[in-house]
Amino acid sequence: MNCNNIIELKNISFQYPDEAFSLENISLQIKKGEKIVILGENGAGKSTLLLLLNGILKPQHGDLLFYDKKLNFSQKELFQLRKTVQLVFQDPEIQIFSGSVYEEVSFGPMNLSLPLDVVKNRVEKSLQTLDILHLKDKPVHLLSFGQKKLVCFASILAMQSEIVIFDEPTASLDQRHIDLVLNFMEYLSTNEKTIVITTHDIDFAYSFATKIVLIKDGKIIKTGSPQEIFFDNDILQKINIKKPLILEIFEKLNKGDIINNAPKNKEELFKIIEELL
Amino acid sequence: MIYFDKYSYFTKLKNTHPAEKFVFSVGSIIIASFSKSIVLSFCVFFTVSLLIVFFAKIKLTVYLKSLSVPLYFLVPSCIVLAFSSIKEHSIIMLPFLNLAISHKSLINSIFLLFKSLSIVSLLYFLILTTSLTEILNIFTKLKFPKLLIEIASLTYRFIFILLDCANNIYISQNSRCGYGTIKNSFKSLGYLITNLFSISLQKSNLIYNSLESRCYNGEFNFLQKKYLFSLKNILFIVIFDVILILGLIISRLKNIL
Ligand SMILES: Nc1ncnc2c1ncn2[C@@H]1O[C@H](COP(=O)(O)OP(=O)(O)OP(=O)(O)O)[C@@H](O)[C@H]1O
Ligand SMILES: [Mg+2]
Repeated sequence: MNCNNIIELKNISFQYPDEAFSLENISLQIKKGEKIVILGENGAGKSTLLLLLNGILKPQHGDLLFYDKKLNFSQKELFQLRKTVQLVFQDPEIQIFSGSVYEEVSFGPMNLSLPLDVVKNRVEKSLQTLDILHLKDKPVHLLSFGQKKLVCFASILAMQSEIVIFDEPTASLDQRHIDLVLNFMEYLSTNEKTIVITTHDIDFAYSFATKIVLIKDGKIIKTGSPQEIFFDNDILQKINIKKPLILEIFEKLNKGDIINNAPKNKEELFKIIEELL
Repeated sequence: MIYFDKYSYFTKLKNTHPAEKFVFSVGSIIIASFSKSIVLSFCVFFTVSLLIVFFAKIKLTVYLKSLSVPLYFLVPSCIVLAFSSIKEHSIIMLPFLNLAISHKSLINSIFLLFKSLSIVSLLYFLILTTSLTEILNIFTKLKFPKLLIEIASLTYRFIFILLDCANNIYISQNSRCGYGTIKNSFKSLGYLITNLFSISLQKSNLIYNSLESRCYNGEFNFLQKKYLFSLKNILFIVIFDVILILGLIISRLKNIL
């Protein structure tokens, strides 16, 4: 057994009170420094799974291990868990509850009972990292959707948690904001954060992830490295996911399935093409 | 008009200490409410309006528009107040209604108008230069019950969420001809209201999730922005209020004499 899991879900089942949807028998390990991407159709249960990861939802069956210790969902344990695992919600409208940006971002760190000057540093640094320092005094309801999204990122960044979870971070953003978000992800991963993302952007998932989790109708169908997942045509068909463009081109060029040589990103693909020419 | 509060983020006074603005506004309101002279009330209204437009740099049109809101109530009520039953020294008479405007009642209602305006303008000074979050912070410092302040600050955010929702539902109904006939209008309005209820319930649940995930412990603690007191402003407030009090005393004495 591996001992460096930060979080491990063990055969977890969860059902909403109205019994219309359930996650069944979910097992998932999150190790330090991993970049996990969860893929699945709309309504597959991705957001529900994320809410389980930081203890917002309590599973009916199965265990959540936090640093290899079973979580009992006491207030104290939940506090520790949430200090470690932070979640950026899909809809900024329901994450932001305060009328002013500055207050919103300071809310989380203040709850950690840090000294005031530490909080102030964190708030200003995270606003700066996301390049929204100029918005700090603006009332929230005057911000655009993309700006609200950035405020959500800043308020989570200010928590400086070990694991950061993003629920569809790039949905309905323009290209500039998408690039901003992707840069932000890279920034987090170079700062040795563990990242969990749900997305519908296959190309991003392929080049970013170290581990991909496929989920359908509340069940995990497959977990594996991007190569393992995206060369498995049967699974891709089953879950209605396209192959990343890079891999498609690579397969055409190679006419084979040399999985280990697969390019990770555009630059690597270009190199392969140049060698062939 | 609903996004009224945005002006406080653009004014010249946004970096002034909120307590200064609060003391100026509330202090002067208290003094001005003792006024019994048209001249004094008018002077207060006039100077504060000048302050708002030239000092706080709120656009004149914005200020006039905001003034028009209370004027809708003020003017009709002052007109009604100007009338009394017919006496000998009336300026305008409506014999068939047994009503008339006398010299005294006219003066009285004009005085009331300016007194209200002077207080309204002072209130606007606070509202147009200070954000609600800052005003609530002052209430916190004044040891108002925490619960009330938290409710107020959540309400402030939720008003806009609900307004957005209502607006979106309305647009989506309207674009599908939901308000075409009177019967449909009633039906659509019914849907809108019931929907709004369930949405607000659902959203409050979801927002609670977001609070919980950031280690919410039952209390809202925020980092508050630091402001610097300015001696110049404090002096100004003191001088303004002293002049106001002097004016008050003089006008009262004159009335007595
Ligand atoms: N609070 C809730 N109560 C009851 N059912 C819910 C609740 N939230 C979600 N569901 C249901 O659970 C299922 C999974 O929803 P979830 O939000 O996890 O999907 P998702 O994979 O995130 O989808 P999307 O890609 O559209 O965001 C859906 O069928 C949804 O109707
Ligand atoms: Mg979702």
